[in-house]
Amino acid sequence: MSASSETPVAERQILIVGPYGVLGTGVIDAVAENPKWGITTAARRPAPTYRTQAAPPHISVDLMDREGTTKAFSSLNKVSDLVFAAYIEKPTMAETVGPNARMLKNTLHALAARNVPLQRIVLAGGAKSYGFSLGALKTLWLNGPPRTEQTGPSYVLI
Amino acid sequence: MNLVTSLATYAAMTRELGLPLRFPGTKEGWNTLQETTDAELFGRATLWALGEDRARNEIFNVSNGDVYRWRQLWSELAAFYDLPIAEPLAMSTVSEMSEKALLWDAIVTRYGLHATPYDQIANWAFVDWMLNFREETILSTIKIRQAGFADCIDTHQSFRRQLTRLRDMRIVP
Repeated sequence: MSASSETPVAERQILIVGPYGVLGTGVIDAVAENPKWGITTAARRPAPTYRTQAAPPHISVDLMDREGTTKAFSSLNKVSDLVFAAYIEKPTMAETVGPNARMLKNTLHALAARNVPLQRIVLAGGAKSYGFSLGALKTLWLNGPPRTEQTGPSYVLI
Repeated sequence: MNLVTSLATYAAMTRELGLPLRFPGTKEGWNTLQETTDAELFGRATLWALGEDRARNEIFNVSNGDVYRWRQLWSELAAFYDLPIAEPLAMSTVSEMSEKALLWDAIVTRYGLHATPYDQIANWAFVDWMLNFREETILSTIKIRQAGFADCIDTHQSFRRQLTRLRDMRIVP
């Protein structure tokens, strides 16, 4: 393993945006099982009331609002890592790109404005990156660029 | 979009209507080989990626590690609601289920569930999409395994566990 300038995992704190979708909930549950990590959630809405586990610290934020996001994240001085699991789906792929790119940009801009550098970012994506939404593809989708020609803009992270 | 919540809602409403649990997709959707990703497995993969040097600046697929067909997995949903299975009959659940808000509200009351509005408990367009695949959807997970993340989960076990959690949280009966 190569030398790393990263802070040891035990001292790191995750900020998760999009915390209570399917994937975000999986990350929160994984952190609850792993005392090495801490986590703060950020979303427009607070933790859903049906969850039986105690909710991690939460920040209310609208990621579409650049200034509001910067303000909301300015005091997160212990956050060292970002998990981006927010997603907005629109009727067309072209319409979907804009708001998702904006949320990601606003999040990165806000975290970069702090004094604490981010160690890692995990972007959660899906099989649309392989053109899943277009139909049949070559079997065994390999990690890498899309295997079909894109018919238009695609908001694809993984 | 939570497919399991939508399917549990479908099954609970089917039970309330006194019907067998029909697969509302095509025969192709019933038979096609598929793969999926458990949310908690994804969570563990995320923590691995945040802490593992070999994960820096890389793209990974992560999935359960096995494959499934609805033809077999559907029986887990049927067993969870103690329903007989009815063979596939392709229909639009958007069309068949969208107008049944009153039935859902009655189920919420009868079973003392967390009061999720009907337009938030299920995404019928997503159900229609997910039950009608014509082609197999198999992702290669060689890269993440070779990089050191070997975690995996049986898809049937994952499905049962998610259904149980939804019931425990009183989201579905």
